[in-house]
Amino acid sequence: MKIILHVDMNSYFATAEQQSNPFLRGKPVCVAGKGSGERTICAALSVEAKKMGVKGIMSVWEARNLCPDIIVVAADFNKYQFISRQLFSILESYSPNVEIFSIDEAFVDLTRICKNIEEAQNIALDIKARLKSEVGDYLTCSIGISHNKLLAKLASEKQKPDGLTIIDKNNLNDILATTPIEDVCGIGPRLSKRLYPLGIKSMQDLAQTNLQRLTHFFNPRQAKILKMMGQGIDYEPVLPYWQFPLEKSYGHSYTLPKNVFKKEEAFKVLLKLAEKVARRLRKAKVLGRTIHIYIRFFDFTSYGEQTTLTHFTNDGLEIYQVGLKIITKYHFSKPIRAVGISITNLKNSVDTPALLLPEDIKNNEVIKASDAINDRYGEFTLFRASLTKIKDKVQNIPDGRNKRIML
Amino acid sequence: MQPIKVLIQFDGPKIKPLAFRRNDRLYKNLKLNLVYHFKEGGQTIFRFFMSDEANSYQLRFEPETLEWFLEDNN
Ligand SMILES: [Mg+2]
Repeated sequence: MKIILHVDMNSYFATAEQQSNPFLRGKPVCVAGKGSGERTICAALSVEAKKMGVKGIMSVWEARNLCPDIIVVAADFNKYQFISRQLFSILESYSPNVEIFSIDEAFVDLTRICKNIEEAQNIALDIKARLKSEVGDYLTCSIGISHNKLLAKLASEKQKPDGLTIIDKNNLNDILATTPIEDVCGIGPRLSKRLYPLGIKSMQDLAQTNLQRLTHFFNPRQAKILKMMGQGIDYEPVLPYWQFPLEKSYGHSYTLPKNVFKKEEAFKVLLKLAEKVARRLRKAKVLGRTIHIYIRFFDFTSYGEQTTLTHFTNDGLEIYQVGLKIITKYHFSKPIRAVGISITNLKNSVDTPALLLPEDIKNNEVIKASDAINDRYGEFTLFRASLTKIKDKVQNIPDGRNKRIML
Repeated sequence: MQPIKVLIQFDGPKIKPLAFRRNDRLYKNLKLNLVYHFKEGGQTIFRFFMSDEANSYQLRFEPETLEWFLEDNN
């Protein structure tokens, strides 16, 4: 049997801010996206803010209304990345098989490293202690240990903050009976809504549902996976970063300084966002295939649509053109407040077949060289001739990186 | 962001600010809460998050020129 450990930092961005500034500790803190205007969405909340009922989807203005004492701090993504890297390198000192699941979450395969769960539990306590002594004394994480990834992740969510939960044969049935299906990683609220009418509320309900009955509502593959999830069965391997792209998706979004009514205003932002996303893909040496465009309206409703290409790309212009098609065909009746773009369905670009056509090779070289120049002198120092017409229309996104060089 | 004079403790490869002077005021008894580094224009920059009894401070160190700055934190 496998032994898998899942680590999840608690209220990550907000706790990182409380770590660096002790005057924020014990207080409701909201980490806002770029800028600290009232329109910005709360990117993360401290435990204290969550207790006051503030939710992550609220704008800073809404959060202030609910909790007047809330302290709003600007997000410092360099900080979060740095802390994550330190956490992940601690994890890698226990096992070479560490899968980075998100900026603050990772799976560690301890199968051949620990003889039993008790040994894994000691490693978990060690990780918690080292997080405090080597990274920051205010940081906490929740750890779950079980025999597969599904249950390990579920275990880490059972106790927050600073939890350590084990799911094994002794408590598995209790856990299945008491865990609502929406708590299972991979099911979520949308799928749950389709399961409730079938009388399926807990994992156990799902496990006990006849497979044939499930196939009435889901395709056979989905039905089988769902039933397995209900039973707490999962055969997914822990995929270390050298086998798996570092992030599940790459995306950028931008909240406009004021609501806009015209689509053209959104286009301007879109190109910049597409180019940024493409640059990050190239930097991480990954390619993506599914492009998702997201528009948020002034009333917090949103519109999103995705397109999957037949091939993989990391080309900003191509991503932009796909986005353009999506936006163009949609009729907006409400003012737009934010635009986002993300790309998923990723794979490492190192295993793409070598470019064979001379013009493809050339194009690739040009992109590489212009990336290097833009890294040094700023976005759009060098750009495609085809962009000259729209270049001036590009929304200057004030993210502090325009003057300074971004790396 | 303003230049400051900093008193440093060297501990093997690690450095830690102990006190700094801004204008005419000396800030001492500092606690180091977090330090990280990041790339900016090809240069590695260090950021030290410090605090004393009254305030928190964000110190910026640029190793290429060995300069120290006090940054506005929020
Ligand atoms: Mg977390």
